[in-house]
Amino acid sequence: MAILPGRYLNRGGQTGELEVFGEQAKVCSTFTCQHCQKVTFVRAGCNPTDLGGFCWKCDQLICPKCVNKGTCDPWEEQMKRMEARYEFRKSAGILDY
Amino acid sequence: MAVFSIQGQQNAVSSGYKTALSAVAAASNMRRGKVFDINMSQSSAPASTDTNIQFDLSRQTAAGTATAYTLVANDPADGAFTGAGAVNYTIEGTITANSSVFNIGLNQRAPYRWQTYLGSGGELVYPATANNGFAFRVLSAGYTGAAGGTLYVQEQ
Repeated sequence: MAILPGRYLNRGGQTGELEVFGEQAKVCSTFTCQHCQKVTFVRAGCNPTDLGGFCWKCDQLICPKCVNKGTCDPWEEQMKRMEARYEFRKSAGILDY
Repeated sequence: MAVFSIQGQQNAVSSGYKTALSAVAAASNMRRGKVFDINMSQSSAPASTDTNIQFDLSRQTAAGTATAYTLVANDPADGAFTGAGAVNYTIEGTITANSSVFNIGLNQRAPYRWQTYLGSGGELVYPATANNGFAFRVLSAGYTGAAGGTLYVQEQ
């Protein structure tokens, strides 16, 4: 199976597009990795396995780097940890900035 | 959840990354922010030898030296941006290693735009921790003019 131009964006959720203006105007579909937030560019006709993968645990698309990690750590959960860590350090008076 | 825009340039693009603009959470009473639209372009004459410009959006945790910028609300009825904006950095802020969420090398002669849709889940989000946010940086091996763009941010 290959990714067809314009089809990818229609799959909904976490997708976007990169537009190029001018004489060579064109549009490239993208998706945002739900583990690290990296915007991944989807080249028309490419092999889907080159794009990254699908996390069956959080039910979202992820980039090749996160596929290789083999774990599920959604960005939302990472942010919750960052904010909790900040609040703890703030309450303890040990902020380093 | 108001939407704001920040536009700015890095006036001296060089072969090392320099920040054109940044949008970060405040030092107190922080809110998350979601970037969903990035416009990038060049505002000086192109280099005579064709070259590329690399644009990058990475996570920043501490401010550098830059010109302060007040983000503009898309809807004038909305309140002010609670975070902080800055443009044309002369001394880089603290960029988290390997935190790039958007990176692309583009021809110097064309403007580009990346966008996703609010609520799609494709937005690039920074946490509600002090001074955390995004830095939009540029570099080029051959172009030394000004380059930058406009970011649209929804504050949560």
